[in-house]
Amino acid sequence: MRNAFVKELIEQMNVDKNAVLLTADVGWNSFDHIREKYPDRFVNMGLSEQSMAGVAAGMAKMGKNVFMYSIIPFMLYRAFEQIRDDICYPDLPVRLVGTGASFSYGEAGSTHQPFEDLRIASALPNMVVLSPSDPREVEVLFKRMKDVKHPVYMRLGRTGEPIIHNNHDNIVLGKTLKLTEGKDILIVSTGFVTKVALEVAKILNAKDNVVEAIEMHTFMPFDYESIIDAAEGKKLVITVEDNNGALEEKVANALLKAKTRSRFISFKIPDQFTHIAAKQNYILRSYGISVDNIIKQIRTVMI
Amino acid sequence: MTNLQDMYDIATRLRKELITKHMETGMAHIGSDLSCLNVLLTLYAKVMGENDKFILSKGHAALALYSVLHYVGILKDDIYSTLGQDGSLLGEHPLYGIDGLEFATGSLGHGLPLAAGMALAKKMSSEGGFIYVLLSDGECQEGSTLEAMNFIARERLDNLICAIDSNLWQAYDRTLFQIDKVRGVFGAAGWEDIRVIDGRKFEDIYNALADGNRNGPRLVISKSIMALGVKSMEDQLEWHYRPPTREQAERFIREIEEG
Ligand SMILES: [Mg+2]
Repeated sequence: MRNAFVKELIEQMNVDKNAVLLTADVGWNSFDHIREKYPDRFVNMGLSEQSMAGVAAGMAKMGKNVFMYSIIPFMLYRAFEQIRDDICYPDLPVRLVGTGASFSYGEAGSTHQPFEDLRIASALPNMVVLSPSDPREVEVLFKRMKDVKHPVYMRLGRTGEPIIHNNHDNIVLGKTLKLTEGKDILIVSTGFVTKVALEVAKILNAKDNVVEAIEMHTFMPFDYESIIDAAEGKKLVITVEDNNGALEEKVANALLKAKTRSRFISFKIPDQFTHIAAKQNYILRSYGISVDNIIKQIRTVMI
Repeated sequence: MTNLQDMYDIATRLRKELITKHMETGMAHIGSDLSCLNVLLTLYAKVMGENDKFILSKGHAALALYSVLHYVGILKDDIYSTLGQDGSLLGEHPLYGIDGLEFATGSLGHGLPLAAGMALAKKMSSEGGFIYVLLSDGECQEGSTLEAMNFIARERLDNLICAIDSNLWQAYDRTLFQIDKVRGVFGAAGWEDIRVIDGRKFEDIYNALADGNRNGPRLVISKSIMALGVKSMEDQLEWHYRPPTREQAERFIREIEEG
């Protein structure tokens, strides 16, 4: 996903002389090309995440198209108040791109494992939150971002996420993406664990279309309506996320307004620090976010 | 453009106005307003031109800024008169979107990074004009101020002028960043053009802010005091918090009039 972002950013900087990249000492290798080609529009802020957010706001206020980049907890958590007061309150179209979503830096330890970023970013008024699931989605959402006149937070994985979307056409910023059709079970996912949700849907749909899988790549503004619509007539609703309940809460909230009463199971990160260094898949599996476990839980409920 | 000698009279008038406004609205920070009023007035009445911008990093001195913006005609009567009313756009700290204000400040340590971003954007676009920012001495303690201080020096943003209202108090203690420390820390970060001036003297303030000789960013440390200009209020921390009572306000205004 990171490579897809860098590729798109280079294209943007090629055509948009107002595009500026700020990084907080992150991006060695990835940004070398940009740094060489556009030394005047590449700024390494150094280890200064708070002032990076302020500088981004100041530049955006003067008409620059600012991309700011760092590892998620350093950018979004450390500089939270600057992002709130200086970017979100004035509703400036700064693009905050964070790498290392969830456990994509799992081996790096608990300081590098942001599994609460969706709720934190979503708490801010005016913030558009993008949680893409694969490089193709990063590409499409990046291109559409130029029409968004608000601050945008985009979270990226960095573990070589595979492409799971066959085409670009139906990926629309602000709209829920339907992945499979099905009549009994609704699976809602966001971020790169959408790959897991999609596999579950494909396996269960092998004989008959039972699972409708939908993806919330645009997490905020949250499209409650499409969840309410999709839940109609379903016996079971499932959420799959790499966060500690951000998606679960929103979908549960939508279900309270749905006509149908369905069973509800959530697959999420618990409210605790992992306290381990491990690869992303290991951590996700240990929390039950795996194809096998989700299918097993579905079978338990649906019998 | 206002004559420098006339500024003393205008400032006296605005001091009385501020005491009355604080008394009427019950708003805090009269001491901070009075300590930086001269700098704000000089900026708006004498120094800043069309292409210049200003950020009040010490947002708690908003009433001083409102009074100056009103004096120069940027803030209109219909808005200025709402001060202290429920629903007013004039907060005890500035809201976003008021004419003449670039950002909503009030949380300390935000102004210098914002100013740095605006100054850097101007340079990238080869735009003229200057970015002025006013900090409290207390907020030099904020990490974000120190981050931006280093960044501004490294980028040699010679279109940025940072003034520090050195009134010797922060909110609950004598300020940690007294003049020598401010000078030392900014100097070590690479700021070469550092001037310490008398915040009571408009000639000093004007010369330091308006001087066209530029060699990187400029730091202007304005030697001031809490509640500057009202002798019996000066250097007392309570005026960071309390609005004057009617009786006190009348007494302070008399004191100002008697010089
Ligand atoms: Mg002070």
